[in-house]
Amino acid sequence: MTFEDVRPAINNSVLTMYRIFAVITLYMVLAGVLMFGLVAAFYAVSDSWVAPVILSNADKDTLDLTSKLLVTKTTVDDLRLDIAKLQQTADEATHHRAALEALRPDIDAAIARENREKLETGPELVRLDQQKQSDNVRTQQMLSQLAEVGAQIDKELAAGLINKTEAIQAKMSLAKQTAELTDSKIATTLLKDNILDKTAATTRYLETLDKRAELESEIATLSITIEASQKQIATEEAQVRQFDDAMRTADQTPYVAAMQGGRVDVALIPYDNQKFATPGAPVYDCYLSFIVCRQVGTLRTTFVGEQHATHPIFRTDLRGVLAELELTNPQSAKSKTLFLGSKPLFF
Amino acid sequence: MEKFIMLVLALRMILSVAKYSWTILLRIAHHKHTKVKQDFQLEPTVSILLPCYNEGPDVYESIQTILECDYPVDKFEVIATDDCSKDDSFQWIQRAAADFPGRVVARQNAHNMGKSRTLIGASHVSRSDIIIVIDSDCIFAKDTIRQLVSCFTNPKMGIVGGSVGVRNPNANTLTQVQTFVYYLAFDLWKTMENWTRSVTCVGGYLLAIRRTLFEEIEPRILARNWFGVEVVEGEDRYITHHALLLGYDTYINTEARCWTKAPERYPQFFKQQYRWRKSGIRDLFLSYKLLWKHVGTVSPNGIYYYTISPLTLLTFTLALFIAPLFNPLFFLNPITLVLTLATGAILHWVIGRSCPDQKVRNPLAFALFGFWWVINSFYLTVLCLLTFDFSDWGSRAQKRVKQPKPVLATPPLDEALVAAASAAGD
Repeated sequence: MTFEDVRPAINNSVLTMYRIFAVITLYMVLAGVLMFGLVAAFYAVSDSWVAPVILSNADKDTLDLTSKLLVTKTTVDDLRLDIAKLQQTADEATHHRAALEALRPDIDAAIARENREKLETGPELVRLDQQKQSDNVRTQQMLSQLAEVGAQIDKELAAGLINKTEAIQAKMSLAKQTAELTDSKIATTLLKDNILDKTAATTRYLETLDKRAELESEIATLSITIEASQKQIATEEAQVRQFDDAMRTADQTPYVAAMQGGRVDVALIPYDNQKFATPGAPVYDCYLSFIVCRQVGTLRTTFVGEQHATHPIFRTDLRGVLAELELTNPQSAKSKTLFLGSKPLFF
Repeated sequence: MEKFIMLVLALRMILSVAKYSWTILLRIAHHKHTKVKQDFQLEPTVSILLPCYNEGPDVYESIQTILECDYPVDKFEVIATDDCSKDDSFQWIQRAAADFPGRVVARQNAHNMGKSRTLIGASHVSRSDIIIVIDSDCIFAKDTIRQLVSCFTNPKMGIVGGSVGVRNPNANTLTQVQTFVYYLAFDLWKTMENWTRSVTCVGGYLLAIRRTLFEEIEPRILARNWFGVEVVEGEDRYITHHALLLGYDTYINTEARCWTKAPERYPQFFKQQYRWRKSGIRDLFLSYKLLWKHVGTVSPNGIYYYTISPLTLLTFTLALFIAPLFNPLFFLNPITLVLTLATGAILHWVIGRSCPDQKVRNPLAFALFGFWWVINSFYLTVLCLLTFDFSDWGSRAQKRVKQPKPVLATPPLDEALVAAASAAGD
């Protein structure tokens, strides 16, 4: 038996297998194309489907939110601590400023009193100084005549008109007069210092003014510190309020529930399919995409805030909101799509 | 997977861009390299083989226009063979034989046997040096025969084809799309193959072949089968392929022009495309089966077109098949649509300048070309791969009934030749 003898049998076998394979494949391709067309057409017109999502604390979004919430909480705590410190600083500054401000009237009163006294005693001292100087001039003139008196005493002592004791007493009297003139000159000089104190701005007075200026400056600095602290407190308090609002909003998302509770069944409801998205609306799951359906739960609540996802059929960007589902059959959350309101094709 | 798909699509795109860039460069800068030397003094005897199935009155018009060609009357004949049409085609052939006595041989097969065997049966009637195969729905320019035979100056030249235009470019959107495709096929795609004298498929609408070469290939045509199932379609591609394997040159002379009626209805169009695609896939298998015989015989360019180009097309088809699974709206990509429309606008302008008779009224029809191309690449390839055990006349298989006109003469059938052809086929 040659190969040519068995060739027809081999050909027939190969052909039979090829034809069986071809028929099955062609029908599968045809069925696939038809199914794809049907599914595409259905989802293009259906307005009740939603895309279920199972959230858990290990989800990327949940983990992201957990991480962000922790960061936010830490930030809020830091802000609150900072606000407390700022408040303390402001309180201390306020107290200090009040103390300084209490000093200011005493200083002002002292300066005023001093000025008033200067006004009163200054001109009088000037007048007395002038009088003193003229007295000194007269005394000086009289003392210049005393030299002759001393010479007369010596002559009278030599002449024996007076004794030595009397001569000494007379000379001591002369010396006393001279010393008194000197004292008077010293007093005049000292008076000039007093006059200068009373009529011109002395360093001591300037020091007083300087201290007053320092006081004013310190009060102003404290005021600035207080104002800055209060502004900073206001800003940080606003930030805390915003963070609190954000955390309150986050608390309303299912991700926080997933973070705390482990698993939450939700569904993305496209904007076009929100007609049946009311609390309590029945949720249906189908065995064959959208055929042979059964109720598997209800819609619990709808969350605010836009969510993005990929269209389960067309793979395009999908926009909508999330809704929490209460499923009696948790496996339904793993379906590609679920339906709200009623069965999509009445069976 | 998406990256792999994009890589395949990009690879195919790069190959296409390279091919068209080189083609345009050849056409503009080195046009003479894509042409063979012609001798218009050559006047060998020519037999026009016209196989016919369900063509109705078109076959008469086809015979009439080929007979009006500017070629010595005593040096060419038309052998028209009806493959047992279900319509009045044979009556029209008989009428042509009566209207042009001595110039038309009217034949009818004993039973329906397909285009390949019909051609072989007709070739047995012929004794001419050159055999020209034509389609029964084509009309021809007056210099078609002379343009074809003038290319046989080199003994190495085995097969010469012509370019085909569309007779009904503006019948409807479908024919407008096809007009674009025909222009692309002959004025761009074939240029590269002409450059190396290795046209991989000279279409059976207008195919001139040396008689000796045809006789050499004939046994192979008759032996064609798919696990014992006879293959009767795609004989033009098969003949061209074997001519190249035998060391002959193949060439398309775009000056030899004819015009065909493009399918106006989608079922007809689908069948035509299905037949063409199937013959292309069969040819791909043949290329790999006889790969080593190509080396040293067929030019590297021809080997590329036989082995790599269709392979990239198949890979591309596979990528197209998979792409919607990842992105169902893949085919509605705006970039693709814009590129298609831009290509259509350029083609419309070029066709309007170079082939005014092929200018379409609605250039936006080219957008449908993209849609057709996807269907053709995606579904037809799968369908063809799974129906290799079946072949027929394709778009002509549907019965077309026209009001018969009076038959003037009925030449006797050459039953002996029909029997011989049938025997050879068996």
